[in-house]
Amino acid sequence: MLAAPVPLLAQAPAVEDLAALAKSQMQANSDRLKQFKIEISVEPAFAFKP
Amino acid sequence: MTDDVFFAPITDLNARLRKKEFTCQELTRAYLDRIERLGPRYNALALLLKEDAIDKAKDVDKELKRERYRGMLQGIPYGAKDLLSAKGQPTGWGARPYAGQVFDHDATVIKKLAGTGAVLTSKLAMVELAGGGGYRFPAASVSGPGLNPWSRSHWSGGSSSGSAAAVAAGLVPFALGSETSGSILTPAAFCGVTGLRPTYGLVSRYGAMALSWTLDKIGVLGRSAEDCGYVLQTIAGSDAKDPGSAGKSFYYAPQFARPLSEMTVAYAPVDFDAAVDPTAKAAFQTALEVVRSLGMKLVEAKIPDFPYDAVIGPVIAGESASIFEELIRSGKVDQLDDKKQIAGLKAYLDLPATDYLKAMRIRSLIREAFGEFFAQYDAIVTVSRSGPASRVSQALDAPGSRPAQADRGFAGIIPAGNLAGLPALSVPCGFAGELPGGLPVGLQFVARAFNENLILAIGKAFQERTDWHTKRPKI
Repeated sequence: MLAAPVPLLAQAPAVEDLAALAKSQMQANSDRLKQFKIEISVEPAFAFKP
Repeated sequence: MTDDVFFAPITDLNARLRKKEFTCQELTRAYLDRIERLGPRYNALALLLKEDAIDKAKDVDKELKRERYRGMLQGIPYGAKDLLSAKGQPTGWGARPYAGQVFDHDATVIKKLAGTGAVLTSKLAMVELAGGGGYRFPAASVSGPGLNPWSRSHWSGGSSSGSAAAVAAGLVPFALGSETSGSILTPAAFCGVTGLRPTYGLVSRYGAMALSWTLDKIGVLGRSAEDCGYVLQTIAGSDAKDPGSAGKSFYYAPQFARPLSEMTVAYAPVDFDAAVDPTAKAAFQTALEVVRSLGMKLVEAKIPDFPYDAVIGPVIAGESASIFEELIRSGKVDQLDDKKQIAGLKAYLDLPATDYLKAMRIRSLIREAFGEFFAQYDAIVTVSRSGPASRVSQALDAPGSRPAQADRGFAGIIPAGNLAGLPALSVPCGFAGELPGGLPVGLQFVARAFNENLILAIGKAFQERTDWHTKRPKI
C-alpha cells in the first residue's frame, strides 16, 4: 500500500540511529504542519468521501 | 501452450476459451506450472493455490461447455497480493509475525472475482505490512526483495512487488494490488505493466489488511488499460462490510468515452525535463508528444500548493499505529525484516493527536483544492516515478545526485492523489537507466474522483499508439 521513496532526490543522511531518525522525521512533519495556517472552522476529513 | 498465451490480453484469452481453443483447466495448469517454476526467481510468489485453482477451473469448464457465459474474466487465472484473505488459506501480509495467519472468509474482491469465474492461482509477495512504518531496503519482506523481471539485480517496486513482477513475467494475466500512497503506481512503472489505482471507496477493502483506513485502496496490475477496466468492473461496487465504501459501481464503457479532442489535460514541463532521471528524459518527452498527438489540449499547470508529505505522514502514522498497536506493544514488531520499519512503527505510537487532526484538517482543504482544480482540467499527465527502479541492494533513502527543483510541477502527485482519493493509471512509456536496453518507466494519468473511464480511455488511446505495454522481459 505504501511505496518507498526512490533514491533520486537528495534527502537522507546515513542512518545511524533509526529510532532517532523516525522521531526526527515525525518532528519535521509536525513543524511543517504547524507552519501551515488554517481557518479555525476547517474540520478534519473524517468519513472520507472523495 | 505457446509463450504468447502468457502475455495475451484478457480479451484474447477469453475469446480463445469460448472458442474451445484450450480449456480453462489447460490454461490454469499452464499458468500454475509457470508461476511455480518462475515465481521464486523474482521472489514474487507467496503461496501457490494449485488444488483450489484446478477445482475452480473444472467448474468453469463445465459452465463453458453449457455455454453459460459470465463475462470477460470467466476462466482467467489471476494472483492476489498477500494482504487479501482467501478463506482457509494462509494470508501473511508479507510479514514474519503474521506468517501462517488464516482467515475464515474471502476478501470481497476475491469473492467477486470467483463469482465471475476468474481463477485465483496464487497469493503474491509484498513488502511487509505494505511498508507502513517506512522501510529502508527492498528486502523488507518475508519473501525477500521483490526482483524485477527486467533485471533481477533491480527492485520490482513496492509494496505490491509480487503483483507487478508476476504480471510482467507472464506468471498471471492480471493481479490485485493495493495502494495507500504509491504501492500500485510504483511497481507498475518499474515492472513495465499497467497499474490502476481506483478512487477511494470504489472497491471494497473487506478482507484486506488495513494500513490506513482513510487511504487504502485495492486496485489492478494488468497488461493494458483495457484489461484493468474489465477487472475494475468486476471488483468495484458497494459493500456494507467496508465502512469506506462509496456505494458506487463501475461499468467499463470505452465505447462511451468522450472524444479526446474535447479534453483539457494539465501538465508541467519540468516533470518531463529537469525533474526526471537524465536517462529517462528522452522516453518521457517522447511519451508526452504521443499524448499531445492524441488530440487533447495540453495546458501548463501546477499541483495545488500543500505540504503533501507532511500531511500524509501523520495520517499513515496515526492510523497504522492504532491498527498495529498490539503488534508494536507486544514486541512482535521486532520480528519484521526491516529495522527502519520497526523503528518507524514504534515511533508512530508517540504521534500527537493534534498532528493527526491537523493533517486531516489540511486534507479537507486538499480535497477542496482538487475539486477546484478539476473544474478547469479533465486530467493530469505526469510521470509515474521520475526514473527506473533502483538496484535491489541500494538503500531506498540513500542520497541521490539530483538537486530538488524550485519548480515542483506535479511532484507530490502520489501523496496528493492518495490524500484526495483520486483515481490514477500508470502506463509503460519506454525504457531508461544504466543497463543496456534499460528498465521500464511509466506515465501517469490522474482524474477527478470516479472518473476511471476517462483515464482508462486516455490510457487505451496511448496504448493504441505505442507498444511499450506489449514488451516482454527475457525470462
